[in-house]
Amino acid sequence: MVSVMGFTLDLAVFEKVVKAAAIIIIGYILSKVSGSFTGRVVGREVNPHIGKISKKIVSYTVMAIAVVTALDLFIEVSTLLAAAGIAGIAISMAAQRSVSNIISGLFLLADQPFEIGDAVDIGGDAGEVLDISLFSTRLRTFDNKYLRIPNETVASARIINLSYYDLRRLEIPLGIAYKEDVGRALKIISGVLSENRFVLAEPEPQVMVTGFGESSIDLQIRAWVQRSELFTARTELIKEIKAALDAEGIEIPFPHRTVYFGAGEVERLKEGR
Amino acid sequence: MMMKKLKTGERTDIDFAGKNYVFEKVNPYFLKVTSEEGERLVSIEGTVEIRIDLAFYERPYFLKWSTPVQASPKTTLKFMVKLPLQKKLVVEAGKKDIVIAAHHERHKMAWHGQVYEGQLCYFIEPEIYFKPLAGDFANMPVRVVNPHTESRQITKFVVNPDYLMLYEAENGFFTNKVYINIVGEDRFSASYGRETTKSAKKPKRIIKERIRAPKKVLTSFSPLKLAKEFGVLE
Repeated sequence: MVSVMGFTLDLAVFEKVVKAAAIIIIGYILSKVSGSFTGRVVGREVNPHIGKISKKIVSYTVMAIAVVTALDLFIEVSTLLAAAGIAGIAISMAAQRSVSNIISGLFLLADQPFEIGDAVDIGGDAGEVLDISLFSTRLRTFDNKYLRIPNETVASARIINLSYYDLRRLEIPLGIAYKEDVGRALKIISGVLSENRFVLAEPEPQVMVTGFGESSIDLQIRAWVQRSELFTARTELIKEIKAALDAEGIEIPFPHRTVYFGAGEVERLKEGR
Repeated sequence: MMMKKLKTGERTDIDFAGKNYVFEKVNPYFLKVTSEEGERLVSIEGTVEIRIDLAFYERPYFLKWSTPVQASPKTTLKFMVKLPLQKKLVVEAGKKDIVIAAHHERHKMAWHGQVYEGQLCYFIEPEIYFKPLAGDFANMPVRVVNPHTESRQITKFVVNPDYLMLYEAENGFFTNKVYINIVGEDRFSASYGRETTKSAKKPKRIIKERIRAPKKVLTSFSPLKLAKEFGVLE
């Protein structure tokens, strides 16, 4: 028998308690060391964010093994695990969404369609990526709202990464009136594109005729710009093209319909019949 | 280029890129610089030297001619093009120098490479000439080599300023020679010589290359009119 802090313990039990405490302490130290090492290596080789999550997973796993090993000194862990298995089935039925989110989160981290700081559009919700955790992805929308999207939704959604490439192609549709000289209009627009400071000289900008619209001859303007200047470039280009066409007297028509009445109809309408 | 010295308590003003900069050495450790953008204090010890330096642009030059340059079979074309330089307003004391302002002409930009990977360049439409000109730009001696038995043409190429050297001569500024070897249709290899043209009178090298150029850099412009760099040939 052994007396410890006023308590009398059987020697065998005391030995188990000491062993368990040692296992927990060693396990804790190992979990910190292994987690930290894994986090550093994965963060350096793959991605810092994945590194942080890997650190947590390894750390919790090692700690869990240490706890189970310590428990094994006192009870039959296999029995406990069997009971936990049954409980696990019940819990997983209730928590299948959460588990799906975790698994989707891991797939997202492995696939890396975007990173923290990217501007993305996820199934119609656009914003800056603030965080990618195991359960959800968080965005700050462009109008400054906080948006949390479960990873299951993110993984199955159509994802557009708006900041992946440095170049973007501006596409501006435009219509000119049927009465206008198309060749002249194309020349004027090309002149605007060559002078505009945002439009890259290479790849060369293009102006194309795309078809006979209901109210106009349809044109399509394509110009490459730097992604960071996309909105400013679009605004400036539209202003400059409008000004140039107005200066040359080229009409950009609004949609209109010409209605033909039969003989005598106009007089009848005037008389109110 | 132009140089002024300033001791403690002295003051001077300099016109740079259309703006007026007033320098005042307020004490042995600080220089006050006032311009229309505001006032700033620069930590710099001792007598200060203020000068305007020329430098190459930070980004590559994308040179494109509006009409192609035709090279006859088995010939080397020798000409010069104007390479624009940037000006820097620099203060220096001892081994420490600080750039106060930098200025270059406005240029359109161009993309060299595939649209999903490449680099942004300054777009230049160079004139071809045969005798050096003096000015705040560099005369770049270009040698277009057509080793083929049929005539070939070249419309554009890219010059990396990291591989360029700048020489100051009595008759202007010059770079080292740039050799463009026409490999095929829209494909060429560029190499950078270690000397400038003999047309430069008493040249003195004032800027070293930032990186030692590889022997040859092969570049291809694809049918979609985008460049792909294949890297060093040998």
